[in-house]
Amino acid sequence: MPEPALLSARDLTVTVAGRDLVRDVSLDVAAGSLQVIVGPNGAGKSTLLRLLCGELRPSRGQVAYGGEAVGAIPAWRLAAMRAVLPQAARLAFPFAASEVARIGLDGIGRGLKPRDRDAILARALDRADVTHLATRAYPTLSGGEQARVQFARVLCQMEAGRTVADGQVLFLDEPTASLDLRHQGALLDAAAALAASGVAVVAILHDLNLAAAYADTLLVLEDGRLVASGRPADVLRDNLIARVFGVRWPVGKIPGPDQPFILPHRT
Amino acid sequence: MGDPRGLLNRRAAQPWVLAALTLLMLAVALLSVSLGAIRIPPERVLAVLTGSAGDPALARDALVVLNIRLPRTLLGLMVGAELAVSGALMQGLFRNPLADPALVGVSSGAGFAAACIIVLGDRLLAYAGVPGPLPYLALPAGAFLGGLSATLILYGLATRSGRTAVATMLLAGIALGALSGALTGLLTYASDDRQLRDLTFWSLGSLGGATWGKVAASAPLILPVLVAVPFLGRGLNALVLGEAEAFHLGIPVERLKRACIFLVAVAVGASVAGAGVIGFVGLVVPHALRLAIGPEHRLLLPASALLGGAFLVLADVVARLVAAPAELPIGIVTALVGAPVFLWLLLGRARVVADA
Repeated sequence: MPEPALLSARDLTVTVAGRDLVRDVSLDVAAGSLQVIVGPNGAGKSTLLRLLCGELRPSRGQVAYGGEAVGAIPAWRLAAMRAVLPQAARLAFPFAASEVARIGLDGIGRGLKPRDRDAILARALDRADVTHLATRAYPTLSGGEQARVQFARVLCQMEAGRTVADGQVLFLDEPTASLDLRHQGALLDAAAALAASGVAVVAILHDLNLAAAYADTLLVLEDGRLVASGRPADVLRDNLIARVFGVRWPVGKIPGPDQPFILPHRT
Repeated sequence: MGDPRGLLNRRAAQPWVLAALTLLMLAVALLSVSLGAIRIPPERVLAVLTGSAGDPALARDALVVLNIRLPRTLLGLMVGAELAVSGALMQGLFRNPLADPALVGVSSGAGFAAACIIVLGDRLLAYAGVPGPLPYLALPAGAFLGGLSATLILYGLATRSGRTAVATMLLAGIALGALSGALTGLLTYASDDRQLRDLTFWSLGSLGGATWGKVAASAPLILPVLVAVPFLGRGLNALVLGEAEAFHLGIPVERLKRACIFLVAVAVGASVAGAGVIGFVGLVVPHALRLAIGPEHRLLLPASALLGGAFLVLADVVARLVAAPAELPIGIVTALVGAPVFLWLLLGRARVVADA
């Protein structure tokens, strides 16, 4: 019997200026699962993520957390139930990296003892491998370092939220886009570990190899519609890659003797 | 495990920062009360304030301190605090260290309303057949309403279906400021010599007209601002990450923005009503503090109030002493001090604003 869905979406449609950015998408994300959304540019991946996290109201359809409509949950309570890692965030003010991460603790962690909050912050900085950057001004960090600091902030929010909410959802919008290989692996390992601890994880990834290595369920979006979903091995087929992404890259075959390739390996 | 040592120190230092700024503000206030056309040594100021005013040897000092310098100093502290806090609020709201109430037309809106009353008030009264002169409160009340209307117009222009577009608001604010500036300029052609002098003084700012009446009229307006400020720090910190991110962190974003806009209108309206249009305080004070103590709003906002008050009162002391017995408009002093400091800050820390 399947786990009850932590997050469920029914017939999501959002129309902007007469165009459906997302059309009739339904999905369920169970506690402990890691689902990855893939699709070409403009397929509606980020819009779907914004719908799922409650930031955007759908034109039709409904998103529910544990059966409760997302629109009916006040922002402060929702913040304990789900966290969102944005694509890239620039700051105009010279906050130190650890101050940015600590913002994740500010609201939800208010009931915690200062020592517990410091411990959560230290763990998050460590997990995102930014401890050595803690005192650096955020605007002076590289794009990848900034992304890792944001991940530390999200980890803070998740851990603080866990003290008040039961089932949690973590959204990652292209979390690996600006990271080097080691940190791509480390971030997705951290996300997988969260999933193993009962969090439902929904991530947008462009790298199909990473998606195949980490996803329990792969969701393929094309023109705002969900055209395939299931285990990566079932979904990633030559004809789907050709139709959705417009490239004739064979799945699971070595490209040729002169072309090196690197396969991600889940640790 | 990490040891963000410098930052733990930065947080531990917070009460000390506020204590030091409070001391600085008190010292500047004492200086302001003792310096002037008649010099009154600090110990005699303290004697007057601690209630030995009945002492005939202190009678003249008591008159100067209690009737002239104390209300002026208190008004300066309040106006400076209002300007600096509204600057810090706007910068947080717009996520831009260069945003300022003067930039988005709130100050010019208040100034234009004041100019209207200076130049047209008497004539309007005459048309209406009401015997002049204008009631004393007309000018401050007009300035306050002008600031509030400018903010509301701005908000109406920049807000569509409950969401405020920051870029639209900045651009609309610049246009609004230019418009009120032009209209104020137009009014100078319609004014006589006395009105022109009033207008100049008003548009460059002065604490010269300070009375206990003005202090009493300003206090009820600054109090809600100072009371609300501690509750905005967390939201503004999150808002710095972006509006969507602040929502993800549980901040009621639209409500926070509305609160900031309203508080800025109140603070700027009250400051313009009390002392005219004074520039650069809202820009320089929060910026300098950010460089010294960091951008964390829960500390920045109260620190801005304290340093803003101290800065404006000090500028007023300079304005009184430089050309004594005449007085410079205080706006000239704040601009002369503020603009080079601001440029220096920009040049020295170019990367701080590079992302703005």
